[in-house]
Formats: sequence, structure tokens, C-alpha cells
Amino acid sequence: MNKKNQALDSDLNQLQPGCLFKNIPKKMGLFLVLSTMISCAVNLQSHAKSTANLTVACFQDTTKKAKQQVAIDSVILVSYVSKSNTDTVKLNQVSKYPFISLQQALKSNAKGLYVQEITGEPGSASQSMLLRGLSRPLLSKANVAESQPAVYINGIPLIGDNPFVYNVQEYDFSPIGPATNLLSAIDLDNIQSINVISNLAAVSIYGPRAANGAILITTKNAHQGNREISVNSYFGFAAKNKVTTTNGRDESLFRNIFYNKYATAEDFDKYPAYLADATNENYYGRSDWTDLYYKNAALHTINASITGGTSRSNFRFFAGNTSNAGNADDTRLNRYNAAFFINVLPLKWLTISTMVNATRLNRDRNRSLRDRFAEMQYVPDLISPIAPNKTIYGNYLSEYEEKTIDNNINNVLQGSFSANARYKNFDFITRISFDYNEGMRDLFYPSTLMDGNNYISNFYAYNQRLNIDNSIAYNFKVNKAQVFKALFGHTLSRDVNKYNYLQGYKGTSDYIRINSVDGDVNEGDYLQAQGFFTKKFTDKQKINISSLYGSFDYTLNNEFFATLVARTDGASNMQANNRWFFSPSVNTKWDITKYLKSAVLNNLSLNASYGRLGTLNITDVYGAGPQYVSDLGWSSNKSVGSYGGIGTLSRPYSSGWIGYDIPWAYVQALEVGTDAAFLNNRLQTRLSFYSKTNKRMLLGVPVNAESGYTREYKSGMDVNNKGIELAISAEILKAKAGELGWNADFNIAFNQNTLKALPNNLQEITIGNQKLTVGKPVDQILVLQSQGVYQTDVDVPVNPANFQIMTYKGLKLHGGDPKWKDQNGDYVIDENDKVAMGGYMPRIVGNFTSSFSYKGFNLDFNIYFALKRSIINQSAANQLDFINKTGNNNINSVNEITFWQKGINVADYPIYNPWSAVQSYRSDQDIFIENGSYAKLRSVSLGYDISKFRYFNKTFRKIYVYAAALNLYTLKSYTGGDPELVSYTGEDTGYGLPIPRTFTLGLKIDL
Amino acid sequence: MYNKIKPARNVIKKIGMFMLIGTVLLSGCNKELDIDSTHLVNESNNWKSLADARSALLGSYGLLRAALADNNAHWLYGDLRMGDFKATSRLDLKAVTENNLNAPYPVVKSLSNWRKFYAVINSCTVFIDRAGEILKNDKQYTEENYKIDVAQMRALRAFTYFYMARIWGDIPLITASTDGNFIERPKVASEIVLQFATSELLAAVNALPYRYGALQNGLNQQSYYGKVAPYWDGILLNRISAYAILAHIAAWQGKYLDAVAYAKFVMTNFGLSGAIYTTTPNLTKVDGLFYGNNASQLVGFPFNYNTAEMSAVGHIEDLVLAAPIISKAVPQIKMPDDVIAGIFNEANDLRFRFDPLTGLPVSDYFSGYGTSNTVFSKIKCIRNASTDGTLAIYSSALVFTRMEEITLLYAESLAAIGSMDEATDALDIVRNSRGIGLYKGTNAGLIDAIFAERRRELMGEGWRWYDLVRYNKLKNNDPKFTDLIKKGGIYWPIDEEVLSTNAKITQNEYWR
Repeated sequence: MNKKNQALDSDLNQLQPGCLFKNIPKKMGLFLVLSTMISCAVNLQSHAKSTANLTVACFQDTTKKAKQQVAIDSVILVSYVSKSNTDTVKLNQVSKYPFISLQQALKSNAKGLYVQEITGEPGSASQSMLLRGLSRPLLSKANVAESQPAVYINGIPLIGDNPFVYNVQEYDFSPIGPATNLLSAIDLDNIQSINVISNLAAVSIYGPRAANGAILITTKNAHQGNREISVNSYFGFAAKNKVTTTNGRDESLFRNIFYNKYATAEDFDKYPAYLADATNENYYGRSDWTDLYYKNAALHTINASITGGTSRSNFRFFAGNTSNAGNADDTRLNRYNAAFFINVLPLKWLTISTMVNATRLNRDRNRSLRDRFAEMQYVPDLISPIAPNKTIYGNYLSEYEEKTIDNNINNVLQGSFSANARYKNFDFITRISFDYNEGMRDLFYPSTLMDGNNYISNFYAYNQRLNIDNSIAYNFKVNKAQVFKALFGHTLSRDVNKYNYLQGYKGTSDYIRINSVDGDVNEGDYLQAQGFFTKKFTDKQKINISSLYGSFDYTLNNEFFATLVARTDGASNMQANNRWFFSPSVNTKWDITKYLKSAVLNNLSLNASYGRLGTLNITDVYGAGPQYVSDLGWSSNKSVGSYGGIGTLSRPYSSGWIGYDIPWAYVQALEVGTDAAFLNNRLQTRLSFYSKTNKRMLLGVPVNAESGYTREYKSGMDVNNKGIELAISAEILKAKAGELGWNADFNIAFNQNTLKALPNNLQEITIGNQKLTVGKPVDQILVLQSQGVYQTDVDVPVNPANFQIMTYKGLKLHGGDPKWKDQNGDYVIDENDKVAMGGYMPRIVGNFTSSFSYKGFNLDFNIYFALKRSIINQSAANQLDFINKTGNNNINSVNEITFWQKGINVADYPIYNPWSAVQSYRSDQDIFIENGSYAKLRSVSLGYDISKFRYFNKTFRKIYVYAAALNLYTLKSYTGGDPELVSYTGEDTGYGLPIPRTFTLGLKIDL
Repeated sequence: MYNKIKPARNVIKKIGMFMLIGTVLLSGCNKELDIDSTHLVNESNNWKSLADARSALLGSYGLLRAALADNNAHWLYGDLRMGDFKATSRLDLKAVTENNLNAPYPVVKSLSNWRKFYAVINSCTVFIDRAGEILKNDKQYTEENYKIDVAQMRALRAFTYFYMARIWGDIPLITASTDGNFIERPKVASEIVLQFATSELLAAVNALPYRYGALQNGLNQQSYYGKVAPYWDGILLNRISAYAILAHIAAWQGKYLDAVAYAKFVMTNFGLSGAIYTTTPNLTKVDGLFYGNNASQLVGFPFNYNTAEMSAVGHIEDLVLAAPIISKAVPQIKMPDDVIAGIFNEANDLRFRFDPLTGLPVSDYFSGYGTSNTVFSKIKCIRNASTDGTLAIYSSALVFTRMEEITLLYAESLAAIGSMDEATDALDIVRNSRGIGLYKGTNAGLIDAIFAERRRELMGEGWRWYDLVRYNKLKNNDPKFTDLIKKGGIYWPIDEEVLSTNAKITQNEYWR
């Protein structure tokens, strides 16, 4: 391999399928192989004895329970109180739909969970979940990552991509690398249950990772019994969008409104060339690019599983393939799953369980210009957008299809090996588990796509989490009335995040699509890139967490329940003198049913909980205290680290000063609630009130510029979230043979966040375009109020005190400028004249699910809503601010092909002078703030269970055929596109790909 | 009975073993939690070795390069503000050319924020305070090396203060590091700041070598951080650089007598640093004076191709180049043809002239003169001195001063103190090498001629605005500009982010 310039054709350049897991750390691979071998060996051995053991009645019982797998969380979930605090997702309904990610599956199916998808591109990493509101202001992508609930598969905490990759990125639209949502690796057909826990006291046993709530996924597991085979499949399509296109004439007519009113002769001279010539067929001709952009795209899934074995040893194997597509820009995610589970009971008191759950994700990404330029960190000349003509756009696409390489692959693997020993009232569990995932992106853009420049990049990253759990539980029955349980445990968790990234510009030809180096040690340019001008980036981060915990359960008369959890957690990324944090919590429940004698009320219980839990940093920089980093970047060259060819170190001036004595941040919550059941349990309700405060959070506080630092990270930001959650589940018509059955579920969650404190006892801080004020929500949108336009210069008010003309931040206002309301009457329009117009987080989220059953038929539908929320219509602002947008020629000036799609109605907006230095169409004014409330008819399905026919019911346990549709109808007042497709901070940039309407036909067979 | 007990004992044994494993794991806890980060160096691991000194020293230089390169700041401050260039489509650049510096465009706001410059101040100060610790820890780090390093940091800090004082006038003066204490400091008169800069430079100047890693550099140390000349040329500040900066500080203050003395030192000793006067072709060649780093860049900041420090932004090319040199159709700024013809108004100018026979323009400074798209293409270092402009990434150095510039400053200073003959001689050094022959005008017109020559020679090197200020201070013949000087309109406004984080700082008067 020491030849220079290996001109490989594209096939060879693909990843070798043989090396599925390129870089699993050796010990992990060894562990996997060993554990599987041990399990198999033990399995065989015990198989021989199986007949004898079958007679051992007591173990029959335990293995039946082992349907809920024997893992650490099974022990934890035994705690009655925590169990009662979980929300169980109705998987039989969810798994029918072509949801590709966990976020999609949970959206509209869990209580108090707000899911945001900022693009409909399948498998895109741009999805987030928030349980019970916003725990911190979203100032960067890292803040979004810090707010995510923890996800567990069979008790294994999953590790995601670390946002540290953004450190070398000029633009943070999506992270470098495959940017695939790792939570799309989960196949719902392999899942037994999903529980969502938002109660802090209930979640505290999971430790600081779960401080934002926890989502517990339990896979279907090996269990004893006759061999069971299941096959699930659906086929369908994502339907194309119908849009109204525009061409050069429409754009020209739109611009003429402004040119005729405000343009100078000089401005007319600079009229864009592509619009100036009305005979230009490309721009003024047919606008039929949509035929190539929006397409019906096929989706499918097929999977099968086999389960079986004896009470002493049993197994489950699952394999599946899913393909999910977007309806725009040829986007797709392919997923391949394989999972293997073995439970063995080699000795009466010992259970050994092994699981391996592997997934491969392969993503076809969008072809947008913005994402391409962001990846290249290079913005070419953007003076003319791509023509709306099908031929021109088709040429571009065919160049893209034929010459581009864009392989995005993720491998995800979870595994565990656990042993459970029981002796008398002791229950000991030891488990080693890991979550490992790796992401790869190999990219090549040919020179024909951009001004004769080609580009290559290779990305490889892995995230790895290894957990060693040990716990011992003790059950003690004092007498008939009192039961006592204790659990002690220790968890050691080791995280590693690592990436290598190489960019190459300007290769010698489009046939060389690989970045090769000189492999000859004797050459002067040994290991130097050949052909491409390259930049290399690499980073690695290790964080270890050690946790000691104890949990005490007490039950009195089966009516009063209490759980006390106490834990202490140490994190390697906390400063040495603040390494450990102690968190207690208590959770109680009192069942008062028997004190009520009511015919209507069947069950009533009250519960209350209080607790606190430390929260983790996702970076190790705060733990180091005052530090030296490489920080020489400037605009367009953020990541340069050397001067004169030699690496440098300086204080972290641009990222901010970090001092000593940074304590753990923590979350503290109080919750009271009541569960009630009425009418023979046909109506069940759960009502809860909570108040949770995230305390002592770090915030980059702007410091005086003369220090050289942008900000100082200080502990002391407190954000409170208060809310009410109500869940009602009603069996309106009881399903009986041959009669109509009707079940309905309704969830609604109200949430209000408030900033309680800022570091240094500050009352308000402005960071970027967000202003944080104590006592106000952290997500408030502050804007200037527009009251029309000044027709002429003389209309601009003059301060009678000093005869100064009204200014915008010192800049005199003129005719054509917006008439912004001077709230404080100082004749200067500035930040102090802004008023709050809602927040970017919805104050109310909820869903309504209804299912009818009649004989073998089922009809389900689901409605999802998010209310009291504002959207910043950035897309409209961009369209009106065309002068600055095209003039600046930066990444925000990029016009995609969707530029030629009907946008705003210009009559809805005042006509300002777009050339004005006040930047009249700035998005921080009320004309761009809209009500973002919406309700969506998200899913409908109709199915029939064929196994009701006598012919089938002997061989089949179930044959269910169904038709399903997603994203059918949206009720909204927002004038832009889909109100879901906005950024985390509420801006609709118009770049999100549509969330498609899909139609599928499916089949579920159990043998 | 026996049968029942035996398994139980085994079980106890095994549980015991599990617990033992557990205890072992627990005892390893605290050790498990000590991890040194791979992407930063904490306080206890720095200032230990020679390499730490080198990283910190170059880091300070790099921070100044970042401050000057960010948003092409050096050229926006120097060439665009009320200069000869006009913005094409960027309204923020238009605001700068028209002196509307309080227009709230992001780029203009960023240029009014001095934080990046104060990062350099802090970095130099931290070095001066802390580098002594290395002397104790690393024997390889010699006393002389330490002295050179500290002298450089003092010179660099002085230069940064000078640069800031030219932009904002009165600014806070910080001379000791106060990391972690964010003390608000008031502005200090720019005279005091410049006085500090001058005294710092004078204190440092004798510890600086003429040339790093050269045999005759005025010091004992001949290799610097293991590298010999020409490695450090145009990268670090040497004794010549320090005198050049001293001359500029003096001229800016109107202390032309001092400026003559400092400039004369440069004019006499520049050869020791390896610097030479530049020929006209070398000025405009893709691999000429501006390419990479070389000794003729008396004060320069490199953006080398081979060290992967080149960039798209941070170069005059980013603003002025367009087709046919690179693929961009229209440059961000351009100079109108009549302005060009007005500036190059002497025959036989090698930089730009009209062929007397055909009347056609001949120039390496401009491409496409006479078409609607005249491109200022004096500096065009694309990647590794390539002529293929499809990937517009540049490797030209930011050259603050070079021999021609110092010679013209010397001429200006002499003219200002009335030494007209010597001033004419100095001016003629540059005129001769550019083909326009000796100065034949009157003594009264000498200052105009010197500034006209600066306008031609230093076009696109970030000088025009400061020349205008010095010229008007000398001549006092433009009432509008004089008024601007009087009212402090020659300074930039201070960004609201700076004002909001320091209560002791008020907006510059002109911009209130």
C-alpha cells in the first residue's frame, strides 16, 4: 500500500462489508466472544439436564418472570413506587407505523414529552426530546445535548455522539460525520416495552445521567416455552409534496416592489444578472424542478424472530431490515438489526444472561448546497441561485449522482453479560455491559459541482460506554403488614468519545476519490497527503463516573409505600475538590381506596415525592479549571492551531474563562399527584403537579472585553419548570365478542419555565440574540414592535429635548425605515425597546389516541398538539431581506432549489427600504413572530386479525394485516410551512426537509 | 442434612467473592476519576518545559494574527474606511467606506469590539509573568532565550496597544495579568498608551536579535527553538521590527523627530535582518513578497500553505479578487477606473501606466482595467502560489510594514521636520524602483508627493486610512477632515457589548 495516488474506482472505495466493526476495542471484542462462548457452553450443558430440571417448579416461576429480563433494571423496577411513576408507551400501536427513530415513536405517545424534529430527513441527528420543559436556555447545540433524557436498553445507558465535534466546525447546522440519529437504531418490533419516567425521585436510582428523565427500553427477551416465531413487515411509500413553484419572473416582480420604491440608480445597476434578462429561458422559463426534487419514495421493514428453550436455558434471535425514506431530495435511511439473547440458569441460584444487539445504519443524505458548503467550510460565489428548470437541475443532480461519494454508516452494538445469584432473601446481580457505536462518513464531491474544485473528507468516530454494575438486594418481611427491601449497588461507567476527521481540497482529478499518502518511509513526504490539500482534526475525551447508591423500600399494609434513595456520584470531569455529589430522594404513595366507599370510584391513591440529583457535564473542560488550549481561530478558519507551523497554547479567550470551585449542578424536584380509577376501572386518571429546579448550572457570563475573554463560566444559573400533567385513559365501550369496543387516551401537559437566578446575582444577561432575565422564561422571544413605515425623512420623530432625530442604536432613521415603537421614549431604538412575544417552547403539549375494535378489526388514530408557542419566521425575513442576503455571500445567503417555491405573501408585510443600514427586515421584530400552535392528525391505522378465522387459528397465534397512514393533516395558524420544522430556538429557516405523509400496508405474524 | 448445607456454603463463598470484586472496584474509584484531558493543558501541567514557552510565545502572535484577520479587519480598518475602494454589494462594507461605523451590521459591530486585541495583551502579559517558572523546570530553556522571549512579548504587546490606539484612541491600559479577576478599568488617554508602548519597545529592543537563528544577530544565541534562519523571518518580531514600530508610533503622535531617528535605524541596519527592497515584479508575483514568510516582511504575520495556516478570510484577496483570477464574478470591493487613473498619474509607472503608443493600460496591480470589472490584483497568493483560482484560499502574509513603507515614512518624517533634501532622497529610493524617476516637484509639494507615493505603493496593505489621518494632521487643509480629527471622528465607535460589560467605559464622543 505504499504506492502513491492510488486511483481507485468508486466500488473499491466503498467500505468493505467484511469489516462491519472496524474498530471495536480489543477487550470489548474479546469480552463479546468469550461471553457468547461461555453462554453457549453452559447452554449446551444445561440442555442435557433440561428434562430433569423442568420438574423444579419454583424455577418455572422465575423464568416466566424472566420475560422481563434479568438485568439490573428489573431489580430496580421491582420497587413499587418507581413502577407506578413510569408511563408505558403502547407499543402495539406504535410499532405499526414506519417510525424510524425513538423520538418519532415517542412523540404523541408519551406524557409531558416534547419532541422536535427540525427536518423530515430520515435518520437525521436533528431530533430532540425534552421531558417536562426546558431545563436551560438553548444557547448552543451542546445545550440541546445536555437537556436530553437518558435512554436505556435493558438497563444499559446508551451513549450518543458528543457535541465536541462542533469545536472544529465553522457552521453548526449538523455535526460532522454521518450525523445520524443513533436512536434510529432501535427496531420497535424487537421491543417489549418502553417506559418513560419523568418523576425525579423515581429516576434517581438511575443516577445523574437520568437527571433529565429516563426512557427505559426493554427488548423482547429469551424466555422458556415452545418455539415461537414472529414475522413483521410493512411496505408503503412517503407521498410527494405538492408545491407551487415560481420562476425568475415571480422573483423579479417581487423585487420590483422594493426597487421601484427605494432603489437608487446605483442599486439598479447592481440588479442581479440572472433576473435582469427576461429572455433567459433558464430562469424565466418553466419551473419544473419539483419533478426531480419531490418524489414518492418506497419504505419497508421486514423482520423475524425466534424464541425458545427450556426453563434452564433459553434464547431469542432477531433480525430485521428497515428502509425509511423522505419525500424530498432522495433521502433515505437503511437499517439492519440483529439481536441475540441467551438466558441460562446453570445452578439453582444463578442466572446468566447475555445479550448482543447490533445495528447498522446507512444513510442517504440530502443534496442541499448549504449542507455541502458547511461541510466543506467554504462558501463559493453565490450570486445566482440554481435555475428552476428541470433540465438544468437535472444536470446538476446527475453530476451529483454519478460522481459523488457520500457514504454514511453507523454501527451500533449493545451487549451485556449479567449474573444473578439468589440466596434466601439476598439477590445479587453483577453485570458488565457496554454500548458501542461508531460512525463513518466518506465523502467526495467532484470538481463539476463547484467551480472546478473537488473535495474529499473522511470521518471516523466511536463512542463507547462500559458499565460495571454490582448490586445486592435484600427482602425482609417484618410481619404480615410490613415489608422491607433494601438495595445497595455500585456502578462504574467509563465513556470514551473519539473522532478523526480529514478534509482534502482540490485533488488532482475527479477519478482519484481517495486521499492517499506517501507510504515510503524513505521519502521526504512520508505520510504526506498526495494530491489533496488536507486538514486533519482529531479529538478524544474520556469521562468516568463512579456511583454508590442505596435504596430502601417500605410497605405498610399494602396501602402505604415509601422508597428512599440515597446516592453519591463521582465524575472524572468535575474538579478534584468537587468530585462527589450526594443526592437523596424520597417517594411515597398512599392508597386510600379502602377508606372511600363509593360505587363510582374504584381506586384512589395519593403520591408525593421530593428529591435531588446531580447533573453531568458532557465535556471535560470544566473539570480542568484554568487551562490552556489552542485558540487562534478567526472567521472562516476557526480551527487553526499553529503559528509559523508550530502548535500553540493560549488561554481559552474565545470559549471563555473557567475558574476553580465549580460545584456539581443539580436538579431538585417536588411532585404531588393522584391516581384514580372510576367505573370498574374503565376510566383511569393520573394527575400530577411538579416543580423542578435545575440549580447551580454553568453559564458563560459575558465579561469585560478588556480581559480578552468572551465570557466566564460561572455556576449559579437556576431554572425552574412548573407544570401539571393529566392522563386519562377510558374504555368507553368495552370490547366484547362481536361488539364495538372503544378505548381513548388523552394526555395533556402544561409547563412553564422561569429563570430563577443568574450567576453573580445578575438580573439579566444578553447572550447573542437571547436575553435572559430573572423571573422571565428562558425561552422568551424579544422583539421590536413595528408600527408601519416612515414614508419620508420628515416623518421620523425628533427628540424635542435636544432636537436629535430618532436613531436605531445611534444610526439616524430615514424615510423607508421601519416605524419601531420607542417603548422607553428615549428617541433611541435599541434592545431596551424590545417586548416579549411568547417563547419558543410550547407551554402545552399533549396527545389524543383513540382505538376502535370490532370483531377482528381495529381502527386507531392519534392526534398530537403543541400549543402556546411562537415561531420566528426567519424564512420570510430572509426573503424580504434579499439585498443583504445575497450581498453578504455567506452561508446564510445560500439559495437552495426550494428558493423557487412560493413563499410569503408580500401584502402581509410592510414595505421597508431593504438597503437601509438599520437592516429593516431584521428578524427581531414582531412582524416575523407568529403563533406556532398546531395540532396534527399524526397517525391512522386500520387492521384486521385474520387468525380469527378457524383455518388459521391452529398454526398461528396471530396474523394481523393493517393499513397505516402518518402525518395526515395539520391544523395551524402559522403562515409558513410545517410548524414542526423549526430550529431548537424557534426559527423557521425554511431549510428543513418536509416530514412526509406516508402510507403503508403491513403484516404481523406470530407462529 | 449434610447435603443441604454444602451448597449453601458454596453460595456464601461465591457471594463473598462477588463482594470482594465489588470492593476492589470501589477502592479503584478515585483513581478511576483522575483523567487528564487530551484537548487542553491544565494549570499544573503548563510552564514546565521549553516547548511550553514556545507554544505560549507563538500563541500570542497567533492571537494577534486572528484579531487582524477576523473579518479581514486589518484591511477594513486600513484600506476601506474612507479609502479609494468602493463596496459592490455588501452593505456593511459600504457603511465602512462611508464612515457609518455605527451601522449595526455584524461585521461592523465585530470591528468595533476590541476583545480580540485584549486577548493578545493578556496572553503577552501572562507570558511575561509566568515564563520565568520554566527557567527553574527546564535546563534547556536558557536565560538568553527567556530574555528574547520576554522582549518579544513586550514588543508584541506594545504593537497591539499601538494598533488599538490608532483605532479607538483612548483605551484601557492593562500591564499586569489578572486572570480570573474581571476588573473593570477605565479608558486612558491614547498619549499615555502610546508612551507606554514606546517605553516598552525601547526596553525590549536590545534583547531582540536582528534575525532569529542567524550567525550575526546581535546576540549569542544562534539557533532559536532549534530552527535557524530563514525559518523565523517574517514570523517573529526582531530588532528591526521593533524600531519600525517605534517609528510609526512616533509619527502617529506627530513626534517626527523621534520618527526620523527610529526610521533611520531601520534604514541603516535592515540588511542584518535579511530584508531587502522589493522589485516591482516581486511585489505582484504570486510567489513574491507577500507569499509565505520572508525577511522583507519587517512586521508580518504568516498564513503559510505548507503549515496549513492559509485561509479564505484574512487577506486583501478575499475582498478584491474576482474573475478572471478566481471564479467569483464580482469582487466585494473595487476601485473605480477614474480613481485609479487619478492615483497613477505619472508616466512609466511600472505598477500602472497607459502605454504611450496605444493608450492601453499596462499593469500588474489591476486586471481588466477599462471593463466594468476592474480587479485590484496586486496581491494574489492563491494557495501554494497557484494561478488556478477555483479554490479561493490564500496564503499571503499580512505585511504591516516593509522597506518601501519605512522609507516613505522616513521621507515623511524628514519632510515634516523640514529636511526636504533628505526627504526627497528617501522618496526617490521608492520612486526610482517603480520607474517614475526622481521627484522634480517643489519642496512645498513634497509632503503631497510622499503621501501620493504611499497611496500607490501601499495600496491594499491597510495604510490608506492612517495615511489620511497623518496627512491631514500635517497639512490641516481639509476642514471636513480636520473637524473629524477634532471631534474624535477618526476613531471607531466602541461596540455595545464592550460598553455593556464595563461600566467605566463610555462611548467615544463622536459616536454618542
